[in-house]
Amino acid sequence: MSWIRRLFAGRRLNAELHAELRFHVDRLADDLMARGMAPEDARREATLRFGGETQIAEDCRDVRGTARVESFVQDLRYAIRVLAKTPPVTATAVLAIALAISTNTLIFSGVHALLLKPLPYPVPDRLFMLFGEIHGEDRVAFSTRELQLWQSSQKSFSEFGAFTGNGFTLTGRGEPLALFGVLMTPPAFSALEVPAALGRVIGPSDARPGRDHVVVLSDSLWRDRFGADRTVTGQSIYLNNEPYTVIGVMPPDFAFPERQYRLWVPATLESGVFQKFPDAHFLRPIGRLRPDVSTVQLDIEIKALSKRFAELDPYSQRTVFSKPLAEVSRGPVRRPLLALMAAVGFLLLIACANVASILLARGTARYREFAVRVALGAARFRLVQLLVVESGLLALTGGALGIAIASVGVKLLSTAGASSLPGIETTRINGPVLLFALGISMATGLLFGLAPAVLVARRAVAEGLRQGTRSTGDRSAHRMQSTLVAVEAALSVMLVAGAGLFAHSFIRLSSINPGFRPEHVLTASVAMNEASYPDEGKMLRFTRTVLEEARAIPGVDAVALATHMPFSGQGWGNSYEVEGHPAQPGKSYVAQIRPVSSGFFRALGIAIRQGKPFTEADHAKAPGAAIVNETLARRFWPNETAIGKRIRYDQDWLTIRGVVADIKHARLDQDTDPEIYIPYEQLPPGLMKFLGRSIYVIVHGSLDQAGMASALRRVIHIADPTIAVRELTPLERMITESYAQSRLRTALLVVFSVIALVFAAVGIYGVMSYLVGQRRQEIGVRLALGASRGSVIQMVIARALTVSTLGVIAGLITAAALARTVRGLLFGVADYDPLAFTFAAGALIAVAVAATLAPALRAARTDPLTSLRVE
Amino acid sequence: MLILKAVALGAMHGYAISQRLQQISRDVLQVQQGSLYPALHKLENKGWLAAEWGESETGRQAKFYRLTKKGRKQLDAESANWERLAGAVSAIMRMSE
Repeated sequence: MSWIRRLFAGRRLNAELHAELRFHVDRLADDLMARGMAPEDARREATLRFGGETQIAEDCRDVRGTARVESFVQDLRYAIRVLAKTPPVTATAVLAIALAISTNTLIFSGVHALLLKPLPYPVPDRLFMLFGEIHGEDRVAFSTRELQLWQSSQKSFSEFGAFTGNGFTLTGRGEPLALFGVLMTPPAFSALEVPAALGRVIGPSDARPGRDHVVVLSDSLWRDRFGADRTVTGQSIYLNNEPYTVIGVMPPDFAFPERQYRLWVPATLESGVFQKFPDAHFLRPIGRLRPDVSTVQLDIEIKALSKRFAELDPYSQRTVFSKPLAEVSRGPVRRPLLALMAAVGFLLLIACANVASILLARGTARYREFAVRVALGAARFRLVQLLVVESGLLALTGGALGIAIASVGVKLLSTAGASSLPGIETTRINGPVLLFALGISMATGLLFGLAPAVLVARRAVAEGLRQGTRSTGDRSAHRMQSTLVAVEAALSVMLVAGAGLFAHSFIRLSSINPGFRPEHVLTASVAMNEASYPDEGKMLRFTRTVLEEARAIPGVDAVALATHMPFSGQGWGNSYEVEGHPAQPGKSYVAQIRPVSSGFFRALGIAIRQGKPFTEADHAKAPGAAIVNETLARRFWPNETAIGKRIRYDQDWLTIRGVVADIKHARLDQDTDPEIYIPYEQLPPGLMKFLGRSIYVIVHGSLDQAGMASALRRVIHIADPTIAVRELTPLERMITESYAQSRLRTALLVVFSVIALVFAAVGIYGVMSYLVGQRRQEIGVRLALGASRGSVIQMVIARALTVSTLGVIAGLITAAALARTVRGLLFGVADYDPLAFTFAAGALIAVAVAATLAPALRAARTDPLTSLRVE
Repeated sequence: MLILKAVALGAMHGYAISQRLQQISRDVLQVQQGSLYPALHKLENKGWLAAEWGESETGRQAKFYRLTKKGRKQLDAESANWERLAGAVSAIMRMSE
């Protein structure tokens, strides 16, 4: 019979064994009787000759080889019984573990999806992007001219190309759909080395004038809009009102550069917009490093090339640097996620401390039981095994529950974090995450189980069956309990302080004045495609119509148009010149250029500091006008008015008409750049057709949002039914979305610190109850000797406070030290923000006192007579 | 090895094996009779003996052990080793005379 079968046949095998041995003894007795011995003597002699049956039976069982497992199973069943006997305690422990493991699993699943999962390209660490840095603004894109220079000269990359994102409107397949796509040069696509799932990817023959109206679809777009039709290749679709042929579909887990980009078209550098504006910077280079080239060699070549090109092109006086592709998408989320991981790690430790103290208290109460076991011959190892099995059972039960809770949490996190953590929607409880959860469950079990187990076993062996519960050995258990309280207090205060830091920073951030009035402002993003709007005449007709009709909506008070809306994530940096203030040789001034309509400052409530805003009279034939912001004005004309001075960013000099207040444009926590506002209609024709196609229609009014939204949509639809409105968002929401990540972080940390405080409360309550229970006799003596009940309460609370305060101090010091690592995530608060730290300390002390109150009152109510009675 | 040899001739229950061993060794090997059983079980686990419950001569149920093919091979190997060892020992013993 195999080992496994022997394992499960234990009972039957034991019965057979007994029968077998009995048979032998009986036969021996029979034989002896046959030889003439008296029955009783025969029996006795037979048993003697046979040997100790119990010992022999045990030896036979040992031979079976299943002893280890059987003892384990026995301990398991016993542990289940013991745990089931005290449901509230067991439930508390399981719940604590479940909460800790669920939060850890949740954050880890995010970490896995966003940081650990390999990028969907083969050998992704050989993919690099190039960025330019100019005047402190990094991540600047390349111009077509620059890219072509680099393409012809570089040697480090085996494939080197570029891409740029673009908005597209898909028509002809149901409702017009506004979406984002990517223009890619063929080498950029081949650098990724991912083949199409259906059809083919963009190849060198596609990036030729006349042959470049082909498109590769993403899997999600193919499923949503094309019904996963396998015959889709060769079909024709309309993008921005121009026909494109579908040539392929990408695999489901492919995304480039991010999941929100749903189709890829060739970028033909020799024609179109690339040749019309060869110096416009919007191309992002990407390449696959040659196998024999190291990153050091790459950097050397980059330095050499950028130096050479800087001499050729005065506008490219900047540094170029490379970044691994993984770093580009993951860099920004790494620090926040790791901070969250640390926070839930603390939570886990606190839970462990809690459960350890529970087990310790229970263990000391079972000394007698263990002493009996020792007396019956149990090895210390068995005692430890029993306790470890108990804690393992708790840990795995808690772990299983935790995973269940986490899977619910993952769904919540995906929806809550969708805007702030790109890619979060791929978070799932998958293999690696489950493995992680299992791993930390077991580690947790070991952590909180081992120390109390060893402690208790050691004491049980030493003490034996000594009477009474008070002895010197108790002190080590008490010391451990107090240490656990201090550790819990320290960890909790760190979490609360951390949450306080982030919350304070968040409040600071969200209360920054953006410089304009976002309330009751609605924006609609629309794009005028080349096919329907080939010249500025048609474009202006559309914009004027929309503005007029929008103004007529009842309840609307101001309308405007802007190409680069604040908090839309877009901007247009350009160099400019100031009459009378030549730039230093080799450098140039850079500002953000903002084409807007005349109602812009009114619609957004931007204060005009000097001069006047634009009017309808500022059309294409009128003299060039500009309005600058305070930052720019202060820079050149700190002591005089800027009105009448002249600047230019293109060919023509513009006269400054007014100065407006600074506004926040990209993020609330960034300083304002110099800005030059120009009338939208005065954009030079070439630039208008390039930059002016994508506009935001802005309305400010007293209607409710929904009413205004549908009215605005109607206006746009009437002006042109084929245009899709890409987004219709209240400006307030655009601002809050800009710090959505901070909000999510803060919310999570606050939840974690609340859980930590609850853990701390439960833990302190438990330990104090236990200690009070242990010292009943002492308390009884005190009361009998005349101490007041109040002094007893004081004594108990003082004890708890001392330990907690020690923990709090240790925790705050550690927190201050650790705060340095998250400084980059905080805004406007110092590392050791006194407000956050004081609040954390106060919260914890309050919790400690509150948790100790009940046990203290119970202690004071001790009846001296009953407590002094000998047990 | 002794047990395997004892069982080689036919299936036996534990008591019979113990009797046979005592008989053959002419009572030279005196051990507690019960200590046979852990050894029997070990041999059974190793697959050298196969066991079956059956009716004994006295009519009671007993567990019978018989040699398996593997067991026979093991017995042959062990006896060969034993012969070799015994031969070597006696050769050495003869040498010193």
